[in-house]
Amino acid sequence: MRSETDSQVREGAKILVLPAANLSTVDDTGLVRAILDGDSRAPRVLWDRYARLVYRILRRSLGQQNEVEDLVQEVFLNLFRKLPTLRDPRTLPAFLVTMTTLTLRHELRRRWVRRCMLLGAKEDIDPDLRAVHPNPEARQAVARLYAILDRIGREERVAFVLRFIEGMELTEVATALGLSLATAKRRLVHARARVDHHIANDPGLAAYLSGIDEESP
Amino acid sequence: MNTSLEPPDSDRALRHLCELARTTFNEDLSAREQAGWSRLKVKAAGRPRPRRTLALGLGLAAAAATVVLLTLNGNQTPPSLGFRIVDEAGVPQAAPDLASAGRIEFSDGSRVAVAAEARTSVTAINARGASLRLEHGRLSAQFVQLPQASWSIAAGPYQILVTGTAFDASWTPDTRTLELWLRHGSVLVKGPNAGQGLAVVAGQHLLASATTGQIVLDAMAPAAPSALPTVPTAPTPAADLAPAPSVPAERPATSPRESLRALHVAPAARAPASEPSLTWPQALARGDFQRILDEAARRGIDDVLSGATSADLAAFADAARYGRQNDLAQRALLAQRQRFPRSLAGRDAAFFLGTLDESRAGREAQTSALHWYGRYLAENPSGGYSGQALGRRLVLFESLHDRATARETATLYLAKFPSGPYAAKARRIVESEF
Repeated sequence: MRSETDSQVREGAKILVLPAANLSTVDDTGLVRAILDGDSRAPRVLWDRYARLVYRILRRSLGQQNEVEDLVQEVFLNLFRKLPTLRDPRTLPAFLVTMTTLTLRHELRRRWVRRCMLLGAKEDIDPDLRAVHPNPEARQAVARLYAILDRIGREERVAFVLRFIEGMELTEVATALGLSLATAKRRLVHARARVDHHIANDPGLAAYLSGIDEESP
Repeated sequence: MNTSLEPPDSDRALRHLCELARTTFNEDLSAREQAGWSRLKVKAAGRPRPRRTLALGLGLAAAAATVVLLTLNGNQTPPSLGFRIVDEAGVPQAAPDLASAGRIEFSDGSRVAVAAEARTSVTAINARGASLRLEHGRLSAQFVQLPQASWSIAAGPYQILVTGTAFDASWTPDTRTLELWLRHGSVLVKGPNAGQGLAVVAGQHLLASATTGQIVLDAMAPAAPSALPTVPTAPTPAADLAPAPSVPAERPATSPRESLRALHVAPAARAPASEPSLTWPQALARGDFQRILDEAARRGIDDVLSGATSADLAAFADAARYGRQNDLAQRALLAQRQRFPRSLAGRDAAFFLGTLDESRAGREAQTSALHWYGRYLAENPSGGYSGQALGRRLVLFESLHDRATARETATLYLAKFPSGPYAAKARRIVESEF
């Protein structure tokens, strides 16, 4: 860089202009480097690139379409704070998912404490689900699924959502949760068994599921 | 993943419920959520910074309480440098007046003059030098060249790495702009878009914007900067920095305060409004882009494009580019190529046409940028911008998903510029699998 730059200036071209890089097209490595270099455009690009992913994981984990915005912001604030510790910028998406699951587990713990203090009071079904599922039975089935997830452990819940709803590979789940592959697999087996058990013993869900055919929903 | 306890149709039921959950909770963002970035920025700005354990928090802005001798290394040898803060007349200050100019004097004889209202602090110090942070305003530094000297000045996201040298630097937080005038020696500037570091040598001026990412490196105007109004040459290093009698200071011809106030004026504004007959290259070197654009408008753009000299046309194109009048810049560069195709400026114009295309969005613009960079390289295989042109081409090929050509270009880049600013990216492309 040094010699190249010097030669550019000395060979008669008086002015060297390094054009602003188009950050929206740079890869994650370049984006992380730009953020660490203090490029003020870069955090916005990262937000644009990954905000939807974080929203989606939090929504699917909590069973809420709305009211996750504060958590999303918390994830990104933590991400920007921890970014200097990221050793390999190519793993940015996995790093972000890990930050998301950390925030998520904290939030689940907070909700559990709140439920305990309110003596088992449950949160209402998100009213905005009506817009997504006009079918009240489908809506109810989703609510029942999340009621079941409320009854299994927080760690199992997060693992279950990442694997079965978010569709992550087993290795990705293990990375996101900071677990070995074997431990992640065990946790998923337990989670799956518990969810299956609750589904089988939920009369409302059983009635709904008996009415579906293979192609639905 | 099944367990033996599952009912026979649990897979189907679970698949169905998970699919319901997926379609229910999607990644569509409401208008408010899409605007979440603005709120995040506010939150991030309001979050307190982590405490720095080593930050000494000293300096004119931090209002250091006393004149101190700093030794971070305790009984270790060699001892750390010391420093003290003095006013314009060289009188040590226990509680520096922020409104006034002042000076930081180091025990090795290095001096940093800080303009009135500017904010700077010494964040670390050792036997080989110190780290300073320029938070706002302008300073003028003169560092003594000693073996293994290590000085640095941080300004926003930029870092100026110094050996022995003299320069002026200013940092404007509002516009996130760093400006640097090198009087002697050389420095390495690191920061956004500066790759592994940008060398700035004596006689050069650097303007870097962390907002746009653009960096302009040009020749320092003869009149700028106001050299060392408050950094008197120290006859001997200030060995004893305990509270001491006032240090003799060489008074500049004009009032020091007056000189420092002048430091706050932008370089372009320092030139008298009625300065006669500056050539366009001279005006450009002073950063007075608007003067060139105004004169061109007065003369008529078409007349300029068809009648100006190659040097004026180049200055006009640069002024238009810096003024973000890209259409005008493009016309000037095309005229340069048409009228002076064999001149250096005419050949360089191809490179700048590529950068202009890159500033536009879309595949067509990228393809056009590739064309111009290719033309530049064909006409100037060893030209001053050949590294940049080749580097931009590999970036563009990758962006256009032309992996084979990107790989080919990356290989060529590494052969010609193994330690160039795009070398890391080129290696990644070469080593990646199809």
